[in-house]
Amino acid sequence: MGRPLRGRPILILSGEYRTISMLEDDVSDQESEGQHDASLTAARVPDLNRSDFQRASFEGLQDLAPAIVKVWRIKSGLFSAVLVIIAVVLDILNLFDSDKLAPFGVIPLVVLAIALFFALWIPRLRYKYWGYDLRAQELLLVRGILNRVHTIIPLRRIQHLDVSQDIFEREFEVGKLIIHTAGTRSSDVILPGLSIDVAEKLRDEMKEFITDEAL
Amino acid sequence: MKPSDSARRLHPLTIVQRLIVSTPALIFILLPIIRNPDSAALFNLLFGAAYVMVVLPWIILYYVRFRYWVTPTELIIHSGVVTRRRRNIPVERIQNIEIEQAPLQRILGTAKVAVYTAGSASAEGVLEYVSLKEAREIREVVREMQQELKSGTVKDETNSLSEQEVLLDPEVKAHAGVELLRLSTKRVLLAGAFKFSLLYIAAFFSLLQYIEPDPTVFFAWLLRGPLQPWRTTIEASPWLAGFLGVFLAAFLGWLSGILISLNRYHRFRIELIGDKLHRAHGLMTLSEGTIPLRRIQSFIIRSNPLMQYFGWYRLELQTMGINLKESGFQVAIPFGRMTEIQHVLSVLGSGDMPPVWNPVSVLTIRRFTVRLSVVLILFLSILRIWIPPAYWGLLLIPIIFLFALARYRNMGYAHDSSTFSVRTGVFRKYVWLIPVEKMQTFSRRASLFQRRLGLSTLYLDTAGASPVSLAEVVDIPSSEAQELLASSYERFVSS
Repeated sequence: MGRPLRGRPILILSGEYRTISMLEDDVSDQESEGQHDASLTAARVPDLNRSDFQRASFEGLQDLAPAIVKVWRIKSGLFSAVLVIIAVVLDILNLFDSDKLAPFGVIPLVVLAIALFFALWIPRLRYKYWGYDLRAQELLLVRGILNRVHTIIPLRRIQHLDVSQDIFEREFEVGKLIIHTAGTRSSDVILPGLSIDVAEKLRDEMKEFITDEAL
Repeated sequence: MKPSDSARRLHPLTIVQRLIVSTPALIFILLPIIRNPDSAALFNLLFGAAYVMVVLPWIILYYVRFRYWVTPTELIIHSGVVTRRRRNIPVERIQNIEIEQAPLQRILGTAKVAVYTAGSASAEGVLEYVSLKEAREIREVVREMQQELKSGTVKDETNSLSEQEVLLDPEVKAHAGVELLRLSTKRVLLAGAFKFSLLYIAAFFSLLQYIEPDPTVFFAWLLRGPLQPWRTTIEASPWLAGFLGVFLAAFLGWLSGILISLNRYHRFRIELIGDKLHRAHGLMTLSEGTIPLRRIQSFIIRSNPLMQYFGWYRLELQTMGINLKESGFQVAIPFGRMTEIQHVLSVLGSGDMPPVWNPVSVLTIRRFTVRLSVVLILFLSILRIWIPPAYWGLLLIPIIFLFALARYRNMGYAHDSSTFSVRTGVFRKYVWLIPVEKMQTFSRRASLFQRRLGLSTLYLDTAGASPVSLAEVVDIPSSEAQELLASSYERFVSS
């Protein structure tokens, strides 16, 4: 965690690296945005790099915004808190039981320790095993701690795009990009943990490709 | 009929039909009284009376309050007894008008008209019931008005009425199409003989409990007189009685499968007219529909071991409606020979059935056996708490292994420049032919265990695919999966 976001390439378009500082320029420069995007789209040439689709590693993919780790930790922390409270309540209810499994307070402490461990550790792993990259014609997603999934979403298959933020994500200025296709399993592919500027930028890049004949 | 501002009403026979439809519920409520006239089932009596007092006025008021207009620009429907609803459907938004005639409507000469727009999967407006003549006129008028609207504007094929062409359409019959298949009654009955349905039997027997006289009395009556010795033999031996019971249920299940098939596929006919498939079938409820070829997302050939042994298959078309959520599987050939299926596939422009299938990794046998055995052992060890001899269930493990073997043998994939094909299933056999240009997303998945063995699962998503039976290629070597993913995507890009 804690890899610097600024200055890292976030989008690779037609071979050129665009950094976050360039992106900020785009975002501040709202009026010329439409024109800018159109020229970008025209400049794109389909270049298929076969090794990209055969990839087995996260190398060369974009990372999520590091802030998402905090968001995930808060969310799983809240969930663990509920589990700990349940454990405490059960322990109190069984306070005067003659054949208790453990002395009072031990079980809630164990639950707390396990929950804390997972709440701190799993978000870190999730962040580590998430990568995406927007290419000229497709979006690549590689993700999963145990179940590793590699997905290619052709941009011309996109039905519509949503950027969404829940209350925690809003606090840390991250958001998720939801890509809807007509497919069954891929009817909504979620790309979480993008800094909100990047999410909106990606959405604007990708929406150029939404066509009527997505079927 | 001309589009006008005058209000129209439903057919008066609507009242009769609704009354007939609502009587079974009343009979069900009053069942204890009907069965035993002496009983004072006061609650049922009161409930029945309340039902009559609500339903009868409701049916009449519904008819009285229902009005509709076919104006030159829109279809207006005013309906509702307590909550009044006024619905205006602009003519240019109407995608499809469906006319449906269930058996009762066919007797009375009425029909149900359902108006569909692009916005929703369910019917936007329903007229229950108008006369068949009126129904056809409404459809004709709407179509004419759409033609007039369209003649001024750009011709837009997707917006036309004929999206899912309509039931009982005399026009469709007038068009000369290429007939792809017509099922003879003999074939329909044969198809039913392969379709074993216990579900209807279960429903039938659960209904029997409510019927007087008791079925056992009926069987006693059936086996009277000279058959009396049989009855005593059956009653003397519980094994024989059990065997006969199972045999009878199986026979009835088999018979009901045949009847269901006959009802559904009687006079099944499918033909190609222009770029649309027209399909008509049905004994009790006639249905006639159209599948535009470009809505077809993939081709599914289904079978089961018994059907396959005798060389019979079923062809389904995975389709996608105007509405994305409105997907479905349209049966193109309910029961046919492989040659017939291949003929239809070639007419529809699909790839052929691959002559050779590539196998998946042999490791899949081990993985499947281990996975299911672990589940079984966990289940049995819990079951042992209550039923000690449950460990006999471990004898199922060899059966799991045999199933895993059969599963491996039946799994395969093949691909050429236009189609990716997947084959799976032991008892329900599936073959998917997925056209490259219809693919949606491309994904490769590997669980922790799969990665340890160097295996992956490949899945090419299509629109409207079933979420239950997936066209997945499970457990192929990862390098092969990577190569397949890359080559499929390359073909997709160049398509």
